[in-house]
Amino acid sequence: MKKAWRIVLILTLSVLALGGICFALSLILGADLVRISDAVFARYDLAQTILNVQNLIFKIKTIF
Amino acid sequence: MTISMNWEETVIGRQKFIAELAKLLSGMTARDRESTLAKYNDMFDKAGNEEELLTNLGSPTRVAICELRGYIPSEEPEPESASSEIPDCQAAPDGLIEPEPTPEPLSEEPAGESPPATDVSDGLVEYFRDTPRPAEPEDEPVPDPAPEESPRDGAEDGDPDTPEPAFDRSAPEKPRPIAGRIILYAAFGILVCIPVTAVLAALSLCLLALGAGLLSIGIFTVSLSFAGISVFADIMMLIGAGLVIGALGVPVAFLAVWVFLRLTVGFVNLILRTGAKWCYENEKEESQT
Repeated sequence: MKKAWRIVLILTLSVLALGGICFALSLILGADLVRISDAVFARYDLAQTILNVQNLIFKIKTIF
Repeated sequence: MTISMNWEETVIGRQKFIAELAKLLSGMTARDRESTLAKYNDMFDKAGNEEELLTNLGSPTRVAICELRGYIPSEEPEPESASSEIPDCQAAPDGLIEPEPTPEPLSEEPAGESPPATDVSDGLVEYFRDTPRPAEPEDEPVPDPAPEESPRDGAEDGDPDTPEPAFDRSAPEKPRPIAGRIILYAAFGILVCIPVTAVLAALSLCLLALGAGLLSIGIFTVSLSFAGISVFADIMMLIGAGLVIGALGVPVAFLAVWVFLRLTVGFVNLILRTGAKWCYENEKEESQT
């Protein structure tokens, strides 16, 4: 189990480091969150998806 | 022609016998094996008719069983008298290790009387009855007929001072249940252990769901980078964010597995073990208390 934990931690830390490097690089290169959200919302109707999830939760609550 | 053929067959049979015996005696130490094989080689050398000896000895497997039964690895060199004896095959009862047979001195043996039939098998008895024993040198010390007395002999004679053998043939004792403790244990299990187990299982499930959720969000975030985003910096940001979120999900999911295996299953095992100890009592423990 200790060996498995070590492997998991090494994997996690390496992926975290890679993600952090990517994120920092994107900030340096001038990434814009508003531009990203516009692009995502243009392709996916996330507002409708959120509404659907809320409806589903409401229906489940009415059952119980 | 016939004689030479017979001689050839005898030699081959002897060689095969010794080789097979050497293989079967691989459980012995090297020195003991060598001495045993030397003993049988001597026997073959001294025997007039080797075919007859082979017939009397039987299969190498049988001889190996005879040798290995009651075999105790010796650190000291074996006495010379022991090397000329055939191992006792029939005296040892099942499950007990019989001590080495005490060699009887030749001087006490009455002339013309056969050796006891219980020592060796019938074929060997016949062979050794017919074959004269080699004369032992006079300066060689004759072994004491009863140098050590086995504890089993004393026990059979009913000697109270003789310690009993360590091997206990009695059936294993059944643990005795204690009714009051079983009722208490059942109540404790229903009231406390089952809810605790359920909480631990739910905790591990929640952690698993959290880890899986984080992993899915990370993968989804990375997938968004392919959703028509044209700026490289934005793609890098989505990939970086997805990797960070997904990386957080991996240890959480593994923590869920750990919580389930170590805490939940460990708690159940602990309760079961403790209950088995607490609710059942062995007679030995009772006698100690």
